[in-house]
Formats: sequence, C-alpha cells, structure tokens
Amino acid sequence: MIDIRDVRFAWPGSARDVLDIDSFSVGSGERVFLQGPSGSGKTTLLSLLGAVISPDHGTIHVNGVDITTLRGAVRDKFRVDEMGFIFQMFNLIPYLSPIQNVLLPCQFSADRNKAASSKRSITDEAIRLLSHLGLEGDIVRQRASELSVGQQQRVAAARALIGSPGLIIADEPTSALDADARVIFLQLLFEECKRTGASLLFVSHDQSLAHQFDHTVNLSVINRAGRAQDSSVVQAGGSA
Amino acid sequence: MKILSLAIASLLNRKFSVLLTIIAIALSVALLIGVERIRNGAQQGFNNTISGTDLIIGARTGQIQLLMYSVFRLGNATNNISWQSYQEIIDDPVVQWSVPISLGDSHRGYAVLGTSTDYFTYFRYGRKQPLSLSDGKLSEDLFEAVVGSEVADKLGYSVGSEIIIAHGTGSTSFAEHKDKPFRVAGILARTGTPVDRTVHVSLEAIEAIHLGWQSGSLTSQSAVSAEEARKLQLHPEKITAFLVGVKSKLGIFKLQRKVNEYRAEPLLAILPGVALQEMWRLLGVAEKALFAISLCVVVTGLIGMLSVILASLNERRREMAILRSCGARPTHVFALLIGEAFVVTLAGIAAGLCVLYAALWFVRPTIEDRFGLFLSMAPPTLNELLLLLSILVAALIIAVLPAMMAYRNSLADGLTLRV
Repeated sequence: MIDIRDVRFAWPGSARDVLDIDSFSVGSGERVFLQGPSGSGKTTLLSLLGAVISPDHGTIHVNGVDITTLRGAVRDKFRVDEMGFIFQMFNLIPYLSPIQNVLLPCQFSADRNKAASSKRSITDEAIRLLSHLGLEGDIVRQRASELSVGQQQRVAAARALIGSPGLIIADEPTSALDADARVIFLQLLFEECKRTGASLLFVSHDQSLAHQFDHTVNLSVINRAGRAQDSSVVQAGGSA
Repeated sequence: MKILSLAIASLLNRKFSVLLTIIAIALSVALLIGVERIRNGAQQGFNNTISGTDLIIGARTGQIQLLMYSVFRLGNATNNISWQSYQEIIDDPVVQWSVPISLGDSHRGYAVLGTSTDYFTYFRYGRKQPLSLSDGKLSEDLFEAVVGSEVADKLGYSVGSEIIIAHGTGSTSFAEHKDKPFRVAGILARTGTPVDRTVHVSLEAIEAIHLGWQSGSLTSQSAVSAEEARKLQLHPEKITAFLVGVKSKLGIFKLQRKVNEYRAEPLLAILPGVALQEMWRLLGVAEKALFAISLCVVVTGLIGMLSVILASLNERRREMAILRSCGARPTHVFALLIGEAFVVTLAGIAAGLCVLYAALWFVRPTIEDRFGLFLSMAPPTLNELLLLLSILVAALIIAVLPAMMAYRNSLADGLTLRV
C-alpha cells in the first residue's frame, strides 16, 4: 500500500535533510505502528505521504501510484480518494453534526461517495459507521463541538473510514484520550479497518500500544537524517 | 452538502456578527433603492405637472423662468402680456384652445391664479388627466374661488368659506384686498401638482380687486365697493401668460416662431416638455448627489462585510485544514469564502427590500400628502434589479481578497495546523 524508496527532504532554506529514508513500506491490509519521538521527522513524513509536500529525491508509491509525480488538483483528488486521516485533536468542524462531519470526504470525492453509497444511502452509511464506533442516538445530530474528546476522535475515525479508502493514516489519535478510551478506540479502529480491508499507518510515541500491531517501525531508526541529528546532539552533549 | 450549504453552516456558526453585517447591507440597500424610488417619484411628479399643453406663452424671459412662474407658481413674472397681443395670437388658425393666466396675488402663501373657465376644461396634468371637483362647483359669482385640495386641507376650507386675497405674493403680505372677500365655490380633487396649492379666480375678479389700486396700495378716493364692482363691465388689460393647445402638432413650431418674432411686444413661447427637461437637468445635480451618497453607504456596508470575513480568517485556519484533509482543494476554500460573501449579500439585499417595502408602506401616505410625491410600491424595476445585481457582483469582487488569503493559508498550512 505504501512504498517509500530513497526519499530525502529538506525544508526550503535549510541545508540539512530532516528526512532521509532508504526504504519503508506498509503492505495491503497491514497495521503498522510507526514510533518516533518528537523531532524524528514524523510530521514531515506524514506531509509527504499526504502529498502536501514533495520530496527532494526518491519515490513514494501509495496504492501503486507514485504520488511525487502528482500535481495540484490531481493530488488533492488522489489524497481524498485513497486516504483517510485522523489527527491528534481538533479533527471536526465544530458547527457541523457528527453525521455531516463524517460525510465530508464524500462531498469532495466521487469515488468515496460511490463506495459509501453502494449498499445504502450515504447518510445511513455514516450512521452505521458511527454506531459501530459506539456513537448512537441524538448525539450524531448535535453540534460536534458538544462531544467529548473521545467521541470526537471516534467521529474522526468514522470519517476516515467512510467510502473505504485503502489507507488510514492516524497521527497520535489516542494521545488526548484516557487509558480506557484509548483501548476502546483502538479496538474499534482495528475492527473497522479489517472490515474495509484498509491498511493502517498508526503514528504514536506511546510504545505500550505497539504490541497490538502487525509491525512496529521506529522512525528514528529508518530515518538516517534523524540519526545524524541525534549523534550530533550526543556529541554536543559529550563535549560540554 | 455542497460548498454553499457549508458556507451557510459556517455563517450560522457566527450568527451575531453575520447578522449585523446583513443588517448593515440591508439598510444600505433599502436606502439606495428608496432614494431611487424618490428620484423617480420626483421626476415623474415633475413631468406630470402639466400635459396636453403645446405651448406656454409669456413675456420674454428665460424658458425656465417662464415655466417656473406659469406652472410651478414660483417666482414672479418680469412683465405682462397685453390683452390685445393675447387676442391677436390666439386668432391664429392653428390655435385650438387657449387659457389665459394672471398671477401676482396670493392667499396665505398660496398663489392666486386668475383665469377663465376654459382652464378647467383644457388644463391637463399627469397622463392627460383633466381637473375635477371633489366638492362644490365652479365659480359663478365674480367673488367666488375654486381652491386646490392642499389649500382646502391645510387651511381647513370647505365650500362657502370666506377668504381674503392679499396683494402680492408671500405669506406675510400686509396689503390685503379686505374690501372684497371671496367665497369658496368649489374644491378641486387632488392632482399632486402645483394646482393643489392654487386659489383659482376669474380674470375679471383679478381686475375687480385691483380697481382703485395704484402702485401697490389702495387709494381711498378711488375705491370701488364689491357691489359696485359686480355691476361694472370688467375687461382684463393684461395677463401674465397663457397656455395654448394647437389643432395639429405641425402647427406648434410655426406658432412658436410667430410668437418669438412678434413685433408689438417681446414674447416667448416654450414647449413645456422641453422646458421641464431642461429644468430637471438643473435639479438633477442634487438628485445625482443623493444617489452618490446612497452608493457610498452601500460601499460602507460591503466593507463592513469584508472586515467581518477578514477577522474570521485567522480563527478559521484550523477549519480550513480539516476541510483540506477531507479532500477540499484550495479552490474549494476559495469558493467557500466567496460563497459566504454571496450568501451574506443576498440575504442583505432580500432583507433590504423587505425593509424598503415596509418603510414605503408606512410613509407613502404621509409623503404623498405632505410633498405631493408619489412613491411606487411596484416590484423592483429592471433598473433597480441591475443596481442590486451590481451590489452582488461588487460583493463577490470584494470577497476575492479574503478568499485569496484563505487560499494561500490553506496551501501553506496543509492538512494540520500545529498549535
């Protein structure tokens, strides 16, 4: 599903690469735990995968398409067609209801709209997904801003999953949740990914979650730029 | 949910500031279209003051001046026309009818017009409407008057009321024709023209009240009583102006040339329509200024909207990033903001029209009564619709600024906004 080869990236105006990855891949339907402390280039990697930025060197294939060759509107279309995103917090448009939030990708992607409406109306599909994730009743029609953080994250998960995109990218989705909510959230997310056959790239610094995944990849290990940075820090510390 | 409904949802989330913006735009739209209605009403009323008259003829002066005193009862004639010249001119075979008018006296600020009964037969206003009586009948006795509706209303006159005519114009004339009071014989129906503000008497009556008057005052030895005057054979010697209707339109210019080249005394013949247009052009400056001011108010309203949208941009960067992660392109973000401006302005225009029609409904009777100004309650004219459309277009153009800013922000911010 994801195949990264020899990717290097430096922020404009910066001489040093923040990311230098020889290879990294996520197989179809695989659940991968990407661990990395802050400063290891997580955000940069996710921006590259989301095709928000382009690498200086190398190729990034998502579902067989080299996204580094995509431009402008094609990129935007590819992103929403193939990927669902869940962020750490502030995932929802506060003045829309959970249902309306979940339906957003279907507004912008014909493919996902079509996939979501294959069995039932898209609104029913949104309600079904929300109820699978434990949100039922009046709450799905209230303003999203009235939901608890845990509920908001589950709405975000439903939104990432609707229309069955091939890849779910979750960036620290559980860090704002307490331990119980974290377990429930992960369980529901896994179930739904399994149902749709989506690959899951789960980014977190919380090592305790790693055992629930098929693979664990430590970003600071695969990112050669990060290692160089770390060693320079160590050297600086040593000489002090 | 398309971009427009997303825009509406987002606006509803900011009800208060959006509502204020809509109110500002609504008031400016109501003002603009209201001014437009007043302009049209004024011009219409102006053009309606006289119709069906082919030529107005008076002593030589400016065309606007002649129009002013003969039709609008404003200002004074510089000179009179001799009865003899009048007779000679109306003897021309092209003349179908003529109405002599004699001005110069007043009654409590209202002009007194001496004329013949032909005035009530031939004078037309608006869409060639004739004058009609709402009460009483035309004068039969020498000292009877027919008053316009405003004169009757404001001064509380009814048929049979007694009125005293003052010598000269102006509401505080001290020289009054007290010895010869008039009786109100009839009251004319409303016309919305200066006729409403006129007291009509016969030419003979004008002669009668001036019997024994020399250079503006009554000399006691030559005074003639009302009863004596009634027995006299009175012949007007001079009139102020006269209105002419011709048999065929082709005759108008021939007669006009004849009058303007008249040898016995310097005369001027004007075409009322042409003179009205020229006068309106003079008044048009004020009218255009009014229009320009109301346009400025609309611009102020739109700038208010711009500032509300601009102020919201920063706090909405996260919202835009979320939309981007759900597949919205930067062009969608751009369209969202343009859509918001569209919805706000459209709501403002709709609310403005409601305000306008409500206001018109309330003030129309008063305006019509007080100023003789008829304001249209009709649905927006093509011209007004074009004005409204240009407001909408202007709003969309203005909204390009915040839309561009949001577009750039969303390109820079990507999918997540770091806090």
